[in-house]
Amino acid sequence: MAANPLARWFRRITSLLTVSFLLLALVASAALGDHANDSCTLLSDANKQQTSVAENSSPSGSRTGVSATIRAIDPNPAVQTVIVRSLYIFKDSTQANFIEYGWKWLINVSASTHVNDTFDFEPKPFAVRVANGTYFLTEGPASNPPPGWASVDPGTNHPFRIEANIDGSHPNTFYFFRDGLDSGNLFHGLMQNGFVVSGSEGNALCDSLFTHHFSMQRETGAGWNTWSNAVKLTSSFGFPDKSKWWYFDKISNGDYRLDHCTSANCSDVN
Amino acid sequence: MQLADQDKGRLLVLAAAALIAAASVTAYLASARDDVSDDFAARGVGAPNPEPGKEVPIEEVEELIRQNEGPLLPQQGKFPADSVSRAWVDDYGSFGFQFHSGLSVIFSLESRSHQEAQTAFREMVEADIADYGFSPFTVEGIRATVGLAHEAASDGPASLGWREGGLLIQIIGYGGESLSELRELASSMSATATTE
Repeated sequence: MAANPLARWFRRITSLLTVSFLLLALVASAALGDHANDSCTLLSDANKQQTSVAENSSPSGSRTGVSATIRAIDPNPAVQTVIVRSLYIFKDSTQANFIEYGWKWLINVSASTHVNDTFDFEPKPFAVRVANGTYFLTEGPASNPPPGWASVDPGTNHPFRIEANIDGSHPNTFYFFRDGLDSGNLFHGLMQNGFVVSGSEGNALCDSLFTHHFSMQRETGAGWNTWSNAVKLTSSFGFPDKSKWWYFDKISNGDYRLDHCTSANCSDVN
Repeated sequence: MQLADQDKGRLLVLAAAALIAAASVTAYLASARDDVSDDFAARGVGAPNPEPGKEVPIEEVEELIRQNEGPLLPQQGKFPADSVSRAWVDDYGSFGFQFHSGLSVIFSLESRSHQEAQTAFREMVEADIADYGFSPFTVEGIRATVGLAHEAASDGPASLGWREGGLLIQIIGYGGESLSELRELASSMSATATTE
């Protein structure tokens, strides 16, 4: 029996459309890099995954230094946009003045609009100074000053430290030490009081926020001591928790991890 | 070479599928770019906390300014006190005002002496002006001897900072205000102390 020409045409259209949509799905999948448990689409700065931990919700006394050993992770799947692990000293709640030091791994340069922020082949130490809302980032051995040199190996732990006024005569100079070695400094003439924060960032939902910050200390007039607490910050501090796939696990006041959830937006522990 | 009707039809459908795929990818990439650029434009580089501290009545912040002999916002002009959208106080010795545009006026208790602050400002200008772009400025009326000024640039908004009374005062043009507008506001702020 001869086939109906209209039915044959319909079958052809249907099969071609099916193939087209399969190809389209393949292209979209590649574009989205949808190989983790969520999209690898580059998120805006306001919507990126971020978890920040402060010493206290209302600290008393000024902090002039902060230190922690931070794991340089080796994520699987690999970094898609940019991930950051860092320590901060903030002047106040405005975020208009702070010092930041840690490592960054920038793969998609569109994920950053900061001047001097460049592609990284592996985790690279960096330092940031924000003064009166003006952002200054320095990284790499050729920068001035160099906040450390070369890179840090993925899968290894590294002590990072920010300390102001190490010689007692430079209260506005913030010195950086990585693995105990002098790694340069930045001058900030508007910082006096300070509170300390540590953080983990990733600009795609498929990027890892896993971190392990431990041996966390801060410096006051009484010297260096373990953080008195480790509190996950909220939107009231300008640090909304946007860690869809990562939960906060406080091990002790000076030791916390961000670990992977088994389902989205799972609860913190401890 | 002549194409059969069915081949023409197949080519037509393939072309349509390719167009759909190309349009989809283009739209996806464009939307991703728009998402990022719109947001950075809205937040700015080195984005501020949109709601610092705890919101309080404007009079509470004005009283703190008076207690520390700082300058009050003007009653008239482009940025008068009655157009403040939010007054706030935080736990870190800072308090201030925000305007609807995003313009921020921040006051911080200054633990340094006037001389120490002046030295810090001068060092900040001299130490790395090439990287940082701060320049010295003086508030008209000589309420402060030296402050820091920064033109709006790719690394941040226009800003001013100076010490007056017992306070460090910072005006930051998060709403896109120009440095000249900030200078105008600084000049119009009325000192609550007659001497430094």
